[in-house]
Amino acid sequence: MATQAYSGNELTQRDRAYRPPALRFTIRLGKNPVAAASLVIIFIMVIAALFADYVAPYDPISVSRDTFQSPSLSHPFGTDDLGRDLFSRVIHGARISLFVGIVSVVLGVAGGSVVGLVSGAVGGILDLLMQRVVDAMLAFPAIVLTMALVSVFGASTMSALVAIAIVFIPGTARVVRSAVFVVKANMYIEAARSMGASELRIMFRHILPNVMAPILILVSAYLGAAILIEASLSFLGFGTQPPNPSWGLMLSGTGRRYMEEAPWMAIFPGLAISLAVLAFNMLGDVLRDMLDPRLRAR
Amino acid sequence: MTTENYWTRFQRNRLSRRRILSGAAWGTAGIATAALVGCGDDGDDSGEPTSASTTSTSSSGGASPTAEQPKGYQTNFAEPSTQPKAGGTMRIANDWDVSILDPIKTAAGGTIVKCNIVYNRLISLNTGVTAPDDKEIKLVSDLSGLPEQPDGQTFTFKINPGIKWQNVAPLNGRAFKAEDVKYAYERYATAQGSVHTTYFRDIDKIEAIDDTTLKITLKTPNPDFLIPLGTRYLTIFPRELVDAGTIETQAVGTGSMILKEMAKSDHVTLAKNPDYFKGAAKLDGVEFRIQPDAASRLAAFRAGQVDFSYGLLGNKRDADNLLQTNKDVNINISPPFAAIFGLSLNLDDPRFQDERVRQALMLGMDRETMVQIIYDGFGTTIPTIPWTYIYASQPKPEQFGKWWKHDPAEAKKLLAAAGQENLSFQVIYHEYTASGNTQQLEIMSDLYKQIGIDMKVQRVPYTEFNSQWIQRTFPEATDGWQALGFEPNNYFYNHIHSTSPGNRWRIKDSELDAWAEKQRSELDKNARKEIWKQIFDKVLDKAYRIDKPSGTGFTAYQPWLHGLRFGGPLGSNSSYYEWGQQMHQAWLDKA
Repeated sequence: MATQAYSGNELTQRDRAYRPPALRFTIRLGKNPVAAASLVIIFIMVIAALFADYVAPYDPISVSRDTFQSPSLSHPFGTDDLGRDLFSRVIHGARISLFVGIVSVVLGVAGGSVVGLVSGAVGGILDLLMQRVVDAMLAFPAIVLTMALVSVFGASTMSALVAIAIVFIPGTARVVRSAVFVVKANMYIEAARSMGASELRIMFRHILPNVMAPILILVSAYLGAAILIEASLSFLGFGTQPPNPSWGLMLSGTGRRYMEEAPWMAIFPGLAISLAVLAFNMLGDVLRDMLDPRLRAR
Repeated sequence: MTTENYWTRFQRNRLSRRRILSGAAWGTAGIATAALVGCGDDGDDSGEPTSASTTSTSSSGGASPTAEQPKGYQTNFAEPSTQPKAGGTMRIANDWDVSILDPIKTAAGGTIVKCNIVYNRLISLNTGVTAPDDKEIKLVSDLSGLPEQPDGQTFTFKINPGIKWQNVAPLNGRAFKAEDVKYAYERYATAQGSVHTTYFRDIDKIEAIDDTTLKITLKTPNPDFLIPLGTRYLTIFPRELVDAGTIETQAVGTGSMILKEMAKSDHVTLAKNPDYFKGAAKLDGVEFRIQPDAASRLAAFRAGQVDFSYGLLGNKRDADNLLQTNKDVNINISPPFAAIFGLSLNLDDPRFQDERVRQALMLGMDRETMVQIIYDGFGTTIPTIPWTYIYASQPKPEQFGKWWKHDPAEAKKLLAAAGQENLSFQVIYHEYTASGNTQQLEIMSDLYKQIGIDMKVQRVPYTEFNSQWIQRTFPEATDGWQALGFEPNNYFYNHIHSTSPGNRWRIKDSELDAWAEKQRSELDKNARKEIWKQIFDKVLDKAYRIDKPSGTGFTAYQPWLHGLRFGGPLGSNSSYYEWGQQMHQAWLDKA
């Protein structure tokens, strides 16, 4: 059997052709116009949130006698009823909204993934019991459940964060459990078991990496929902407390009260919520299309 | 407060028409590029619309707030000369929720308003459309006539004829007797959980001489004794409900309206009592619609869905705006006579026991700016104790002591001296109106931040707030209503005496206790006034209460609502409480 020698040029071409899966995925994502637009919006919001102290021209809680100023060069989004710069408040509001959104989703999805993983992988009576608890939690609309939880914890940003995380657990658990059932039936799981791998190793080493796709989709889909729930809770007085800037809080109270004479007080926080939710939802849709093998085949 | 920044510097640059057009063109190009950004190749992230915000700023504009248009607001608008019409249900949007009905356990407006409609008082205050402009409290007949006072310590009341309890079980329309008053007063005075015991501490004995005669004898003379009996806090309830154990959930009284239904977070309905001893009400009934959201209440009022609303107008701007859309609405103004809300500290907290900390909190507050920002200048900065007791005309701020000014530098020094440079505490509060205490607390957070204090604000529901405030269980601080009263003892005893349940600040000052006791039985007007001045000055000097500014009250009435008027001397006729005394006179002129 003749052996084939490789020239240096061929190796270089192969090296050039090879791209790690994460990079290939990112490139594909970037080529998708919807995903790119979403990522740009999210990137801008994340940068604004991270560097809010530098980006915002004013202290977001600093009051002045320049109340109800319409948008101008000195106050691009106008001022509110207490003379506070709305642009600065929207920027700082992004910090709260994104922090609550990202942390609650990470916590909720992580918790739900563990529950779904254990439930699906172990099965039996444990699965039955865990799923009945999940059923009970899913019976409540998300906003109702978060309001009930925040009522118990006390209204604050952190309470809202924890409540939102808890609300995401059952949905995640149900999705991950379904995915685990599919992965569990594969031969490589049987092979790992026959080689003496422990159930814990199989669960986290062989099953978890193969159910990451739905988890990623859930993360992006839930981010928009989390921001919306935080805004809703703050709107209803259950979330972020005054004078801290929160998009939902800015919309409620004086935002609505002075909507006719100072519409900018409601428009800009509302726009920020809409953009953030839209961006995360669009990204979630794209991720689903790219990661779902059935949709990818079309 | 804001300082100069790059926006203000940027604004200083002159903007030519060409530059604006250029900016707009670049902005449009930027937006178009942004829309196309996702259509490019890998890494094509150019074309970020750097000037888009400038474009949107210059184009969004928007209507600027209404300029100040002085309008002829009055303290008393005229009632129609036509004959009152009978019929209809008055709909009231309110922010309180259903809670316990036992009059001895509460002083909160939302709770006692139902009691004030269902029950009567032994005597009453002259309120309503017939006496809206009075500057002094006047007592009038209610369940009884005004008492005979042979010696200043004995009061003999004659129950008015024809009074019956409402024809509802378990009372079933039985006759009202002097014994009923004796029972109610003795329960107010001695029952566990009563928050009104202070009013009765001077009473030696209460006797029902016969069914129509009640005699009250005092241990010591009390010049203010009669006034509390006429207030909203001391209504007469029946023994039957207490014996049945339903006094907290049921109200059957002698009043003009019968309580029909209470649905938590939804509504309270009442129907007219046909047997009311002052004549049946003109209204068929009343419906309180529980709407905690101020914007919803305003929308409902604007659309004519309700005839009256709680907490509708926080300031003149709100009143002006309402008149723009609802030109026929009647608006009454009520100048403030005392601080209505205040930052109330838990004085059992060691940090707040240090008077330097409290004084720093006083100095950290810029009351004048608060009045300008929140109330457009239509407000005042006065303490909780009405100055009317001490001065002939409203004093200047300097007369309220050395802490009644904004001096952040001195505040910082005091905090440093007290070792509280990084003071942090939480204030719980209930948002009574959309543009009242929330705004005050937001401004205070900013002002206190400037002197190193981290004041965290926590909004809580009505019932939670009031249970903590009335029962004095709030942990650190609260934005408490100041329990406005109508007799001097309310301010010079109930608020400050260390044993008084009305001392929600938990003030413990032996000198104040002594003065409070002394003034209570001082019959010489001038001598009593001297003691009041001492109390007034010391409370301010020790900064026991962090008084906030108050706005002029604006109350709106639908043009078809008549026979009702709120305001009155010393807030004696507040819309938060005083429906009962006027309900039988109210009427609707609707097609």
